[in-house]
Amino acid sequence: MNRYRQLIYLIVALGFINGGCTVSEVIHAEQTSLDVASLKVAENLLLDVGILNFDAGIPEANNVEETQIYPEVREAEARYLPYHIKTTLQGTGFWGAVRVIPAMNVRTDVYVNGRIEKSDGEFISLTLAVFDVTGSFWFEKTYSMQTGISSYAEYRDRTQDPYQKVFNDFANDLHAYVITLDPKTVSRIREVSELLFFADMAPDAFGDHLAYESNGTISLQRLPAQNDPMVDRLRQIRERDRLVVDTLNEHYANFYYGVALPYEGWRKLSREQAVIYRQTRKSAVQRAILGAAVVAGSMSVDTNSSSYGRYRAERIAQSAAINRGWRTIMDAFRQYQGAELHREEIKELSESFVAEAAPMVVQVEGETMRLTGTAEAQYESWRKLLKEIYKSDTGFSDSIQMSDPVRSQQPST
Amino acid sequence: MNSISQQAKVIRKSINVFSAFLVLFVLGACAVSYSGSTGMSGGGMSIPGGGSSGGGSSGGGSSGGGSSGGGMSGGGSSGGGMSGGGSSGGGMSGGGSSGGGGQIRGVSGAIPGMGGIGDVGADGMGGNSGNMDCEPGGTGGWGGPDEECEGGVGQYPGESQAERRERLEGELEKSVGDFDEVIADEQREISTVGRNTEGFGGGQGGAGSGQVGLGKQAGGGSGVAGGTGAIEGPQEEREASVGGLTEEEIKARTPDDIPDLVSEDIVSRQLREAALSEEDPVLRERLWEEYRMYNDLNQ
Repeated sequence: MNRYRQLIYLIVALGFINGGCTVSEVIHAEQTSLDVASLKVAENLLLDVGILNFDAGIPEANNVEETQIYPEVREAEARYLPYHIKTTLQGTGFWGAVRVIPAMNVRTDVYVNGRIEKSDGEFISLTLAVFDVTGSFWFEKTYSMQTGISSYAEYRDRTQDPYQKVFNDFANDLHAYVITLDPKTVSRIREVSELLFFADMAPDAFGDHLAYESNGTISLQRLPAQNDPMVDRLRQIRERDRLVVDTLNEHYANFYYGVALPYEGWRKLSREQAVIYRQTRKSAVQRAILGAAVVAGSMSVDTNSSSYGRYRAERIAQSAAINRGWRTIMDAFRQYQGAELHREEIKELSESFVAEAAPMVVQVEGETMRLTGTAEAQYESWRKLLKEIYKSDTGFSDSIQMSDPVRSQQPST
Repeated sequence: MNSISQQAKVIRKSINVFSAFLVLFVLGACAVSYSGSTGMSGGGMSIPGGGSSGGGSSGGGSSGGGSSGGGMSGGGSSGGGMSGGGSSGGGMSGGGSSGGGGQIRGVSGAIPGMGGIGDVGADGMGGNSGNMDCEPGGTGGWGGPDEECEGGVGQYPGESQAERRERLEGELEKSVGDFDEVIADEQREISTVGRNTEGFGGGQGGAGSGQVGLGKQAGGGSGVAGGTGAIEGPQEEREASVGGLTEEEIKARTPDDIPDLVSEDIVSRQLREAALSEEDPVLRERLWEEYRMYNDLNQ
């Protein structure tokens, strides 16, 4: 009787467990609140921030089937995410102008560089490095999070990106770092940033105000006279440089807003498919193990009974249990294979997103090149004109070759 | 007879000597014109890029002589040639070299007869530096005469240092103004692009409806604006989409035991939205109960 019951329990347990395998996992999306300035920070203590377009983090030998990294999707993300960090930092009130910059040659106070380690809608992992214009390294950290279903819900606060936790974490860390700097250092960073721009535009006048150290840092040698007319001229030009970058940021904003909806759609559906894929595989493995256990358990049950009727009943129950166990294993195998369909779904989603985003990426890159090219040509002409003005101001000319003094040879007596 | 033949020999020799002088004179003239043209090309060569004709003329002009400066490229260079010719009065080679020296650095060294260049050498130096000055001359069309072309070289005649600086500053100011217009045009063009803020809870808007105003950076100095690190935008963009509920209202209407489910399907989502939209607390609780049952949350 016990053996018979044992078999019945096995079958019933298998049924329950099979049902249990389909229970959804519950994920609470992580959140971090953003530190925001409660008082207006003094203008002279605000540092400007330049966020470089991210490294898309595409491996050299990228096998899409294996890595699930779609290069065009990453290229779009490498432009979208910096802009969202810009909006986050801008909202804190702890910073001066926050801009996305095309390259390091744009002079600003603090630089943020990033690399996308992982981004599939469900998980995000970003490595962000910060350094200032003097070459001083601030910090580098990898920020990660897992999104929840509510991250993409219709009723959520749409101003919050599904990856908002990562951006808030970074913004808080950046603020935590900058408050460790004394006001003098902050001022020095601003001065170096300005003088680097001046030296770039008018090397004759400001080339020797900064010293480039062997460790890659830049130190301030002296400050220009406040009544130097060249300083006023260069500040005017610097305003134009900022205007160019702001205009460039308008192009980036167009891209950001243009790609936002398809990108969120891709992230949401990609996440759903990834979750289902993971759950299906997990469930298939669990079922296969259970099926195998039932088969093994059923086979090990001793059906030798003195009563023919009981023997028949036990044999039937044993066969049913083995059959059920075996079918469970086969179902698990089919389920495991069926999970691949969700990966195919992700692939199709990605291709669809790329079809929308790729032309926008090309367009914004084209606009960047055009505008920076125009500006650079203009700067070059300003450099020449400034050089003339400087010579006119000082009377110095190129024909006078400045060199290190050399002691003349003593006449032999 | 002998005397006649001797006279003929003398005449022949005289003719030969005259011919030789003639040849030398012609050669000398060629050398002068060569140096002049070199100077011209030197002036031209030293100008980079657009607007280089101005720079070129200043170089050519300066080396050619003060009077020829001031920006006329043809005049400047030909002046260089002529001045060479003029100084060749003291000696053809000297004239040639002075022309060369005045025009282009290095060319003068290739021309023999540096002897007569003593004073001319100073001018030649001026010419050299004039060429160097002409490098920055090509400032996108403003390439003007150079300070190095001192003594009237590449400078407006009679222009003092202060006037020159004033003129250059004026050019810079005009250039900056022109650039401002270019950027303003660019920004106008950007503003015509529709910006879809639907993904942020808003509708279709112009480019200016984003957080960055045209030509302006929303500076952090503005203090606490934004607050949540969210995208700044019209207020309506910040509102949630369920029946116009705000984030706070949604939180208030959601029981604590309602989690974020990974696999919230369409039925579940509709239940959630119906519960959130329901004004009657009793009915709302019933809907939440339905939601719990549907998602097996009662266990």
